[in-house]
Amino acid sequence: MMKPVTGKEFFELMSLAVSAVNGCEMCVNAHEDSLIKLGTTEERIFDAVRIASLVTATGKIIF
Amino acid sequence: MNETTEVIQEILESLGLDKNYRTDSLILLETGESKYVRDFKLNFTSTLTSQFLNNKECGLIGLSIAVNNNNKALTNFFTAYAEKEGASAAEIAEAVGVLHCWLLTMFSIVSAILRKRKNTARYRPAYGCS
Repeated sequence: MMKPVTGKEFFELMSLAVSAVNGCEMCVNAHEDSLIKLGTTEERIFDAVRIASLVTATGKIIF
Repeated sequence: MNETTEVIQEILESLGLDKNYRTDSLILLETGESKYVRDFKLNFTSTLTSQFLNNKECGLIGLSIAVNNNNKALTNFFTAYAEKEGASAAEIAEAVGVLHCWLLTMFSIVSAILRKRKNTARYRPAYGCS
């Protein structure tokens, strides 16, 4: 996407979270590389993946 | 009413669901008086807070995952949460739009085409001989 409303960095972060949940190693690596190039901190990446895993777990248990 | 039931009801109410709503997994957790339910509640609460992401960002990531998992209740919950934290309609639409893995889709299409070509090439001589 050329100009995401949420900003390139956050859009990549969301994409990484979705890729992690979908279990696509290739996509995770690609989005992670983009994020590192954009100067994202490791902590932001870890937190995005943490939130993704917790939301998925909540969905699995409750529904 | 045991402690586990109370915690389950709190979780359901925080998600905007009826407190008497039950699924097989919730019934199993409730009847077994699982000690992990409280941890589960703490974990879910912690998804909404982060030291490195603001609340709006947490809500939008939660929304993109909820949509990706086809989970209506969580989608409604995170949409409302993101709106409350100041996300615009365009930002919410963008989070909803991150539905699937683009690279994975492309890879699947390319591999399907290659497989089809390979199969066609493999079977052509057999048909050709007849």
